[in-house]
Amino acid sequence: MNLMNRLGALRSVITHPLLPALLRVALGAVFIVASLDKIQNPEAFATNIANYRILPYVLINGMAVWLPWMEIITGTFLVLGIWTRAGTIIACGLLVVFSIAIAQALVRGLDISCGCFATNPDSERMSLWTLIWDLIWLSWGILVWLFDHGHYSFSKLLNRRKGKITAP
Amino acid sequence: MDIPFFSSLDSLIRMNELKKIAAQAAALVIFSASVAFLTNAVRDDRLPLVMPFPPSFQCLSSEKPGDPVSVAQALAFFGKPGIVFVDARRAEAFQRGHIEGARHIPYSFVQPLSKETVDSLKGFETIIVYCNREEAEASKLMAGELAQAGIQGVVYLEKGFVGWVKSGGRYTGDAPEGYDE
Repeated sequence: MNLMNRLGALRSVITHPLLPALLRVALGAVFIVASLDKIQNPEAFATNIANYRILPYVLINGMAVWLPWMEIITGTFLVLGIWTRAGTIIACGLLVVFSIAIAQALVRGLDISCGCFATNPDSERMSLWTLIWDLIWLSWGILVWLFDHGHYSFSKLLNRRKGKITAP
Repeated sequence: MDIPFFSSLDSLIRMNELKKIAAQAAALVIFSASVAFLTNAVRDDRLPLVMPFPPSFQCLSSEKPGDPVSVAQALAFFGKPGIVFVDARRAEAFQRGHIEGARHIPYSFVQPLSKETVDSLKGFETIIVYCNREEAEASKLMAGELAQAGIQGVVYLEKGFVGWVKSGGRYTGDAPEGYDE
């Protein structure tokens, strides 16, 4: 098989509707799981945010309250496939912000835990892998944005049902 | 062949699609913010939306606030070799007046102390960090951060610059804000 054929095969795998749908669900699940502990422990999450030392203190609590709900709602919309493109753009935006926050903490040598999935400040320390994982999830988001055309989604299911009902 | 009518129609559709996505994203942001703040308002362990300063927690880099030193002890230390006073306040406050001979190292909650700053304090036996008042947490946080960075003998001044002036400590410039003669 020559290179062109291989590239064609790769393209057909990437552009198959199932793969972006799976990535969308996985990305949504990551966001939902990441939000649960933060919603339960907003004060601890505020400490996590403060430890990054990039936000003025007046914004920290508001961010600690809002961010986990943003994650869980975006994650749920992604899993269900509702407003997929809007959800994807928010997820990618959040991941870009998280990546910048992690990168600056690594560059400044802050010895802190990420606060990504667990709010306990004694949990595992941030490392380069934390940033790499964020970038991997960001790449999933980009693939979903490019190739997910709403297959295997709740919106599609609803449209199909509506079509059946209205069909003569 | 590119027909102008169809290409402009296509760009119009794309523009409408982008507007729709932007509107949905904005709706998601507003909806999540509403749920978040309403939920926070009704829960027992709600967070105040604006964190009071000083923060009710310590940064991880200064898990332990520094140890205190009383004004009387600080007065006894004053002028002895190996002792340095560090003013953790903002530049305007320092320029207005400060403990005589104090070094100015403003404490920023956002920016950790640089390695150069930490290294410059390593030769001293006792480092007394102060702010205007005891409740100005910057001195406690800074003392804690210096101690975490491996500096020995770092303490914060109880009652701050105001307490120092009240007790007759020597200073340069004006008396601090909050000092009532």
